[in-house]
This record gives sequence, C-alpha cells and structure tokens, in this order.
Amino acid sequence: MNTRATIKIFQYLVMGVVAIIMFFPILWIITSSFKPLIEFNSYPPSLFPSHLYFENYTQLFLQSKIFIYLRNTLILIVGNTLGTLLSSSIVAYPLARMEFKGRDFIFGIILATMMVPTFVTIVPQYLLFREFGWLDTFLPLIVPAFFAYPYNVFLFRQFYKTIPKELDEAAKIDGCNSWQIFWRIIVPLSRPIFITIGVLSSIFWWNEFFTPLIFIDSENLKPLSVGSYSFSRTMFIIRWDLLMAMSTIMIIPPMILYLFTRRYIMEGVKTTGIK
Amino acid sequence: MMFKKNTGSKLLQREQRLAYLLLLPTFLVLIVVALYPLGLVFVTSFTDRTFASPREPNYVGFNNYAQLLSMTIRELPPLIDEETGLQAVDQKTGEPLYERPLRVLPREPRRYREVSQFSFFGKRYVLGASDPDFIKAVWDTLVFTVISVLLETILGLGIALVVNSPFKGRGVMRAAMLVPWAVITVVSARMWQWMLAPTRVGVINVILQGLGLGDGNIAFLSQPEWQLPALIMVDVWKTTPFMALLLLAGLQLIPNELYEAARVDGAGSFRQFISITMPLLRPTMAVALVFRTLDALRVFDLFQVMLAQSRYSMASYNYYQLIGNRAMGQASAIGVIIFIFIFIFAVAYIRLLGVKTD
Repeated sequence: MNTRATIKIFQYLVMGVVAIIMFFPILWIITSSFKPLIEFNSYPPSLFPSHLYFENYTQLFLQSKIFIYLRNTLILIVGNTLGTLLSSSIVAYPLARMEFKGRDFIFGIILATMMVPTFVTIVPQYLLFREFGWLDTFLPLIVPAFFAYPYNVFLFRQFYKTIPKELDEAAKIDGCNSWQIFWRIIVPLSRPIFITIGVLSSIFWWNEFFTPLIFIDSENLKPLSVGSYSFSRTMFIIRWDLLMAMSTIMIIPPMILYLFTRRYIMEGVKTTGIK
Repeated sequence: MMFKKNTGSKLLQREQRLAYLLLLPTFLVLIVVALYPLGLVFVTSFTDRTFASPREPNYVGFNNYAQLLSMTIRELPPLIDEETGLQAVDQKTGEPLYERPLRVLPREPRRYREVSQFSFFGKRYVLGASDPDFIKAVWDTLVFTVISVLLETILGLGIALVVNSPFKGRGVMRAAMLVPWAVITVVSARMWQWMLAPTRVGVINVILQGLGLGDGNIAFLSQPEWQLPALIMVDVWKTTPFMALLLLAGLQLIPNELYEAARVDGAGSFRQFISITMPLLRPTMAVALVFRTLDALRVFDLFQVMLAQSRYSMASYNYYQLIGNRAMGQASAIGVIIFIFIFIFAVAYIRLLGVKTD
C-alpha cells in the first residue's frame, strides 16, 4: 500500500513537470501575443499581459498577407489530403491482397524510396517541373499526391493486412469481383487509417516548409509556413509582438484538429507500421 | 475438375492484370519524383554543372566528392620562444602556443582549412578539410541525430509508461500530450529563438538567472558551444510527444494477461518491465527509431531558421550550396553522400533490431 502511494505521487510529479515543460512555451506565446511590444521588455517578465491588447492582431492583419497565406495553406492541405487518400488507398490494395509476380520486389522498391529525403532529389524535380512550366504554381506540390506517396501506401497496406482474409473469401463466393471487395469491404472497415492519414497529411502540409520554399516565389501563393518566415525576414527589427500573434494563429488549428481526432489516430497508429 | 482449374487461372490472370494496372500510377510517381531524380543527381554529382546557367557542364570525375570529403591530420609544431628556447606561452591565458594551422595545412592540390584541433600524447594536431563547413555539417547532424533521438526515446518511453498506467486525469494528459508536436517547426523555431534571446527579452535567461545559473546573457544561438544543445532541446521538446504516442500504442498492444500471470508468479514491477514490457515493445521501438532517425538526419528547418546559416545541417548545407552558390554538381554530390548515410543507418537498424515489414 505504501509503495503504491509512493508510485502514485511519483506519477503525478512526473506528469506535473512534463506538463509544465510542454505547455509553458505555448502559454507564453499565446499570452505574449496580447501584450504591447513595450511589455515584452519589462523586467521581471510577467506571464500575463497587464490588460488584453488586440492591436498586435490588427497590425498583423494590416501588415502581412496572412489571410492569403492561410488560403494557400488550406488549398495545399485539401488537395494533398484528398489526393493521397484516394490514390494511396487504391494502390495499397493489390500490395496487401492480390497475388502477382514481383509483388514483394515492388513493395521493396516502395519502402526504399521512403528513405530518399526530398532535398536530395529536389534539383532534378525542380528542373523537371520547370520543363512542365509548373514553377510558381501549386501543381508540383499537389499533383504528385494524386499518384500515391510511398509512405502512405505503406501505412494503408499495413492496415489492410489486419483485415481478416475470410471476409474477402466470403464476398468472392457471393460473386464480388476485386473492385467490389475493395469498395464494399476493405474501404468501410478502414475508417481509422483513412482518418489517421488524413490528419497526418493535414498536419504535414500545415507544417511543410521546404518544398513550397523551393517551388513558390510569388507572395500571393506562399503558404503560412513560408509566408511567416519571409514576413519575419522583411522586418528591419524583429517585431516579436507581431510574430507571436502570428504564431498563436498558427498553433491553434492543428491543436483543435488533433483533439477531435485523437481516438482515430491512436487506432490507426496501433494497427499499422507500429506492429 | 479441368474446367474449374481453367477458370481459376483465368481469374488469377485477370487479378494480376488489375494489380499491375492499380500499381501503375505509383510507378509513374516513383519514376518522376524518386528514381529519375536520384539517377540524375548521381550523374550530376560527377560534373561541375551550375544551377540556372547556360554554360555546358564538364565531366569532373570524383572531384566534387574529393572536394567535400578530403581531410588530413597534421601535427602542429610548438612555437619556440627565441629568447628562452622554450615553447612560447600566451601572455594572458598562460596556455602554450603552437604554429598557426594555416601554415601547416597543405595548399596543393586543394587548399585545406582547419576543422578542429586536438591533443594526443602530448602533441598538438590539427584536423583540416578542403570543405570544413561540410565536415562540420555532417558531424553536427550526426551529433544532433544521435543525442536527440536517444533523449526522445528515453523521455518518450517514460511518458508512455506513466500515461499507460491508470491515474486521475489520464485522459486529459493523453490528449494534451501531443500539443507541442502540432506546433509547426518554423513557429516553434521562432518561438524558441525568442525565448532563448540573450537579453532580458529571453525568458529562459531570466528563469536561469532567477535560479542562480548564468549571468542572464547567455547567447544560446550565437555562442558555438550552446548552439547544438539549444537545437537538440527544441527538437526534443517538439518530438518527444510523437515518440510517446508511438510507444504508448505499442504498450497497449501488450496483453494484460501477461502481467497478471507474472504477478501470480511473484514478479515485481521492475522484473515485469525487463521480462515483459521491453521484449514486447521492441518491434514498436524499432519502427519508431527508424522513422525518427531518418527524420533527424534530414533536419532542415530548425537549422535554417534558428541559426540563420551561421552553422549548417547536411540538408541546409545542401540548400546553401544549391541556392546560395548555385553549385549544382557539388550539391548533387552532397545529396548522394547524405543518401548513403541514411541508407547505412536504415540497414543497420533493420539488421540490429530485426524490423519485419509484414
């Protein structure tokens, strides 16, 4: 009983420390975004502003193209997430379920390409997309998603493998062909992995910095990640007040998305690559 | 019987054709975004091609690789004070003086510059490289990867174990646990840059000073000895939650009966951890380690945003060579080297931990 109580206390202690370390920086940003610049330098610093001050936000909206950046990010998220869900889910199906020559070899190639970092292949991609006339458009950022990303194919395949094969057999006896098995049995049972990949892809594209930095030049096509970076670089003096307001705006959507879909993410993670 | 077999093989053929048809789009994308670019990178790495220039590239053999990887170690002779005949000593610090590395390092066929100095059996040596920035970038990336992944795994495992055992507020904690991971890297880099600022603006300095540590003016991001620890801290802060999530999922897959049986046999919590949790968590941990290591090896935005090109990771050095110097041949050689590094790590992990793809 005594050791149990000690363990309990220890648990709460650990959780408390972890929680403070994790959340302090975020809290600090959010409260700071409501401080006037002058309070940023006050000493000793206080966590909360002396009064709620919204000027940072109005200034941010006036001085930066934040709404345009936000729109662009949303376009990238929707395009990529739709594309990858549609294509990867289909491509993974034969890899998980069908018998054909060279299947393991093909799967091996797909696994190997997962290891190739983007920045290694970015130059040839750049040149190729220039040939296509796609530079400074969303096309190089969205179109590849419609042809299935290896990583997501891998996750879908792992999930499909956990669905009992007997269901396929039964459907075959009832006269379903491969397509019908896919649409009527596999897809409805795969809801968790669809949601997991949807959320991961959304957070990834909310985050993605490198490829838009390379392919996008016009201010009006930049997503939030690149936009906020270039916005902070155009300042003569770093305006921490505006940056913190911008950061607050960028922190909140993924947090909400994550909180609502947490159960599905756990489910998806449990049944896929992490077996 | 004959008839049945026939339709079976026909069906099989149809299925094969459908499979290839469904795989076709992935093949296209693999060729366009992976295989063709990799091939081209490989070929370009043997030329002196410049980015966005009409000049015809020349074949230069292994020149780019030699330029990037050439290293040498030379002994630094002690500086002799002419009056005393003994080794000269710095007037202020009292440290013995040695010859300047620049005079010792070779200049032909390529010029070497200093990477670092070290002492060995009472003698002073200098490590020189023809591209010291690249050698430093490789070293920094490796140090960053090993330490941050190690810390993330240990802390993530601790958090996962605590969150997996029942206690009040567990649900909230599990939900809130991932919040730092959802903060985008550019924002978290900026925010830490601000909190780590060397003056009163930086809250970390204020807190440390309040605890009696430091003078309140530690320039975490511009003092070389603090740069890597600061970046590792930011990465650990951001990525530990993700690691904890993966490991928590792994923990939940371990059947409870095993623990019950162990308890009946009289095994304590520590024994249960060693004999049940660790071995059964190994596959999960292997996959998590592979993903995180490959991710850490290609770190770009943390270095790019927080250090503003005062110091590079492999990826940001590649970007600098390409965009800053337009040295496309050189950048391609860097790409090939990074790819080899990642490949070695991946194979080593798969061998060591026995990752199964099925």
